Amino acid sequence: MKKLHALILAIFSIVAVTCVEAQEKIRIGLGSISLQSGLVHIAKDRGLFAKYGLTVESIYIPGGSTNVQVLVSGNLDLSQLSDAPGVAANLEGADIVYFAGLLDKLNYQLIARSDIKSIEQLKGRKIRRQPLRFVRRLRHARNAQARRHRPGQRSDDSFKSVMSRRGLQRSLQEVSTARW
Amino acid sequence: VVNAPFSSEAERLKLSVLADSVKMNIPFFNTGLLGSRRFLDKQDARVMNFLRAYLESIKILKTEREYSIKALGQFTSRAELESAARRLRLLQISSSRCRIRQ
Repeated sequence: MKKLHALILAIFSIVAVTCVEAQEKIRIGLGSISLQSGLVHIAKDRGLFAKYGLTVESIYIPGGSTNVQVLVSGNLDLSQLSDAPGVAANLEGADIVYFAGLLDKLNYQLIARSDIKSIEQLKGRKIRRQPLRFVRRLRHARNAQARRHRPGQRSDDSFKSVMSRRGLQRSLQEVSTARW
Repeated sequence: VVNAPFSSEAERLKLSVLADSVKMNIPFFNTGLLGSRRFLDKQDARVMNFLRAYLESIKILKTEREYSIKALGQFTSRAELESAARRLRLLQISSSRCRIRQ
């Protein structure tokens, strides 16, 4: 009887090990803790990756440029990023491509102190944009095409787009953007 | 200039929202999945399985509101469910289509 139990245990162990080995691994880099990267969390939490035979390791790597560097080095299989870092790296010769688009709208808001009620009141004031290390690196890039596209300035572009749609292009010239 | 989820925090702090690009419906390639051509070519079955799971995750996000709010709140380590609900609404508006390049 003991031998039978041992045999059954051994069979179950072999089956379990085989199942674990059958799971293929994917390492995905998340450029930010955002709504979009929450999808990976949901897929993990609901066992969707396991359903399709995958073990997904999500690695938070802040900053798109760093994320792309890790991807290019081969230490990540996939990345979930905004447009600019991947496009810039591709233009610089990296063999990476976007194969799925998730968001097709700008999702920025222009926030001000409570005493500022309109965009017109921004004249002469400083705007803080999100830190974009990649922009400075790109300024020194030799690739003229990359320079022309100026990727990495999504929040600035959003701001300009909003301002121009409000007919405030002139105001834009009077507003300075700064990082601190 | 901030993006979600920080914009909802700004609203909670009674800061002024001067412009909201989501409401302005500005088309833009915002966020995507990328990988090396070599990996995509060699591991296309694995990538397709990843996308299948990912698409099902989007379906859950769009159809299971309560669960999605809790999951997003848990993921972003923010306890305010109201804030998570607003972020969910934003994502549901923004991710109206998920385009996959074959």
